[in-house]
Amino acid sequence: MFEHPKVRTLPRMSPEHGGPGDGCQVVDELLEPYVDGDLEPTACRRVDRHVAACAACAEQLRIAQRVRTTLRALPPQVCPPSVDLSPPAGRLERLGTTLVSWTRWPRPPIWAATAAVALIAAVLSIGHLERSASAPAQFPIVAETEFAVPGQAKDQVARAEAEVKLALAYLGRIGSRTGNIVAQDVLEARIAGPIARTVRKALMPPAAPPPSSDEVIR
Amino acid sequence: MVSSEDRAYNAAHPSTSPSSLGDVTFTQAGTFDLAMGPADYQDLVTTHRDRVFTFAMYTLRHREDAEDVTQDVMIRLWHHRRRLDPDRVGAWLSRVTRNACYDLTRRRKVRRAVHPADPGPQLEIAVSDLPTPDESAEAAEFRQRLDVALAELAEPHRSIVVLREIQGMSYQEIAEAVERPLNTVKVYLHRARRMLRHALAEEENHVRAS
Repeated sequence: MFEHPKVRTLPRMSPEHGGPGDGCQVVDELLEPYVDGDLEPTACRRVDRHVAACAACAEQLRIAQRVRTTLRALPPQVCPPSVDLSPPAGRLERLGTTLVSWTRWPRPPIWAATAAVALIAAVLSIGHLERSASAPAQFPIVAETEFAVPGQAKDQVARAEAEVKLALAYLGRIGSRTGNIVAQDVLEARIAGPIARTVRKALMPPAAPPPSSDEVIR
Repeated sequence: MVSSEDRAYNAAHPSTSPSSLGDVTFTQAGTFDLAMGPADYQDLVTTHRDRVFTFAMYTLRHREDAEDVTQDVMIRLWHHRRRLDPDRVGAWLSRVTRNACYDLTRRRKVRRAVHPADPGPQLEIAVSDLPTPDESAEAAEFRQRLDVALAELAEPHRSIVVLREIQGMSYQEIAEAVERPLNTVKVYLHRARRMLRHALAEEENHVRAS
């Protein structure tokens, strides 16, 4: 039941009963809940008593009832059949399906990652050789000094790794322009990650485990 | 862009595509199952299109704009069909329609501010112009005056009156649609009807006096 805040302070009706008094103002606020049947029985009886004696409020009650009835009879509008409400199976949906099929590519096997590493390494080596032939070499070529001097080999690895990262970042940037999903799910997770892990495993063997406590005691 | 939800769905249903999905079913959580196809969407559209259009029409008072809003709302329904609670589709549609009408009204105001010479769309002040066959001339006139007074109500009073009195929605649905507490909705509805009553009573007094 709707409890109007002013229901407890309903004052007595003005003695004249002809014009709006304090009671009329309060009843004026209670007429809509009264018409809806949302008032408490005590407040209902007070409104009944007031309306029976006050012609102005009785007229307001009549209009309130008519407003409610007429509002409910206002005609609902019919949407014209010419408005096209069919499912939008257009370009956007097809694009979504294409992207879904991209993300559902099978994970590439390890040989694919190895081949990709070999290909990138070959491309980078050729570029490096060409630059080395035209300019005085600042870094010794890997083929000549392969792991002969551990410090220099590490420099080579770091440089190659930086170049691979640069190339992949460039590819990733292109990917982000064509869609973040391609960049994150395909390039990084399925190509860049495996390549980086493979390079790290191939060139940086894991350090020897620390000696056990028994060996230290001996 | 494909959401993570769509990706999870495609991983779980590799052989289905959105265009070949079957009948709608409801999950235990009360949301639409992901397998809601175009036929089920069409059922929802058939059920709610007039309701959405009516709400837009009484809010915007312009037929073409109301048609655009209805189309826009139904496209949103299609895009959100996998996340909707079937018991709350009506309230959701009303909320989206109301927001779409707000956006359109705001654009009208901006356009009027930028181009003061542009009169803007010709609004239909009284949506219910034609008298019904079993209606007297005086009743038809009262209805038209009420319709005009309704058009002059401010928001959210007008939306609440339309949703409650013309659309027949429950207080709970209206509260969800206009994003207000239930008791506030009741107070607003009574206040709105009181404003209508005062407007009509004043007009009747003028008529009598003249």
